[in-house]
Amino acid sequence: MGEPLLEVRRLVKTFGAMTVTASVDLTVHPGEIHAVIGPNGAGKTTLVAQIAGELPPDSGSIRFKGKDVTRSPVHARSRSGMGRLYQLTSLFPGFSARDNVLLALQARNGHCFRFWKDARRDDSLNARALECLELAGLARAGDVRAERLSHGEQRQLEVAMVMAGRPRLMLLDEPTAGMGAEETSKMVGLLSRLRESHSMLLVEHDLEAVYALADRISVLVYGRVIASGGVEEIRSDPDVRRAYLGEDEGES
Amino acid sequence: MKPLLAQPSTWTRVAVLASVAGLLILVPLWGQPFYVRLGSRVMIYAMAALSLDLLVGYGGMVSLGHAAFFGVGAYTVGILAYHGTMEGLVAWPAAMGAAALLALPIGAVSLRTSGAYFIMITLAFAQMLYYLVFSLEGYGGSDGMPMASRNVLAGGLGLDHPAGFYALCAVLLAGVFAVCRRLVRSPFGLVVTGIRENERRMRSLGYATYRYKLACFVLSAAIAALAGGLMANQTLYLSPSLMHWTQSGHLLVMVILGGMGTCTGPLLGACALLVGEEVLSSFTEHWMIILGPLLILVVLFAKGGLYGWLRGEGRDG
Repeated sequence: MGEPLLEVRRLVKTFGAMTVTASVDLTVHPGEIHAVIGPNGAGKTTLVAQIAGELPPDSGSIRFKGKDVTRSPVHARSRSGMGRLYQLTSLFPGFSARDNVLLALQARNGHCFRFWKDARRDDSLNARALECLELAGLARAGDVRAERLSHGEQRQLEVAMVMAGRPRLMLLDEPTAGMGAEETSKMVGLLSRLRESHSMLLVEHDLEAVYALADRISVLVYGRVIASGGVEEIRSDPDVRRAYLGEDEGES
Repeated sequence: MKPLLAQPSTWTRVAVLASVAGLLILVPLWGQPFYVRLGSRVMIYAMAALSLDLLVGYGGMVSLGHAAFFGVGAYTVGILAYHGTMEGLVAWPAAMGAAALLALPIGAVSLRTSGAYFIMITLAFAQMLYYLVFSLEGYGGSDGMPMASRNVLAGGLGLDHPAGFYALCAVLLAGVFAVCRRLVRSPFGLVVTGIRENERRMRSLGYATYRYKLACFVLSAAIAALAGGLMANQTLYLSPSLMHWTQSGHLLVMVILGGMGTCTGPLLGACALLVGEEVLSSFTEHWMIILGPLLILVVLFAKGGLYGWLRGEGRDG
């Protein structure tokens, strides 16, 4: 299967007496969607935060594109190709959708101490911004202020901003959080259109979404990976059902 | 037919701008010294308010110490004149440079904080400079010091004629306005505005936000100092009160009254506040009693300030 894009080895993180990440191993191969599921408080967001560089792990290693990035800062990882979607929507509310994407694009151009040029008349940036909005299904919302978009559209806009960074790996922390059924299926459709060109680590609560998207699934309970495998394997694993799926599936 | 419908608003705006410009030209031709002086005072304060708006309106950094840089500009020009340097093309850039050099460490420390703490720390730095000037006995100390005459321009051109000085203020204000308009639309301007909207997100996009805020702080101080230098020429008197924190508050009121986060707003705000003061104080010496409630009404009912209200932002939110 070649060298993995992301390789997490024996990662440990404790807060006081509580172990939130207990020796986690995880890999994402190029072109793959690897989903991490688990009950509330299983340590999913903490795990993503360590991979993105916002939280330092106590021990273990994180390798990205073959390089050890365990100690490198957030912006360095972001620049080397990790695109992050936060669990809670984080946009520039007073900016138009296009300007939101434009800011994400500008960040890739080195410094922005350019005082004289008109930022909104940069043709190549504009074309790229439009492309990202189109991919995210927001082609017609470019001039709408972000605060006026619906919750689902705001999440789509965030995906557009993540894409603007041309990431090798998308770190998606609950992309369907707070969405209704219709918005969720729209988001699943969007992510499955992106799967051909992007690798993803998907943390998700909505099991239908996970089953529709994931190539592999890891189940996290109390900071420990209790099972890892293909969709069918996980669906039928008795440990997983007891620990996590039992009530939801209604078959037991 | 759609474009035709859009035309009138453009024409209205052109007409409004043209009549304002026309009025600005007529004032000095009319020649009443009082109005010419008022006109140049309005333009000088408009420039200072515009510089503060770069910081407050675009950058989201509410400072109560901006008068310090205004005062530093005035004192630089005054002290250079005291020692015989009357050339404006030397004195004004020197004033901007001095303020920028001072703003660099002040900003570097102040920008470690944000929100209410930023307001307090900028206020503290400004009051420190105020008392420093207060104790400069060689340059008038607490009494202040007169400036013997106005700067000269390019060796010979005197600015003693009120209309000449008025024209100079108009040209410089137009220049600063054009520069600010470009600036806020540049990649740099977009970054600074983005930091106002959501600084944490800017960091996660890969921006080193602190550097951009500091650059904005320094730039804004330099423009304020240019206005301060003109103020010294206007009054031909340097007084520590130029740097007092109430002066910073005055500038902040102009920005909020006119409309934060726009380039035109602060100009309208300066104009409305200073002319309003003149008009009201001719009726009663207690004009603050009338102006105060008026300001409260504007803040409550026209959140975009006068300019936002003119543009009709109140209606479609």
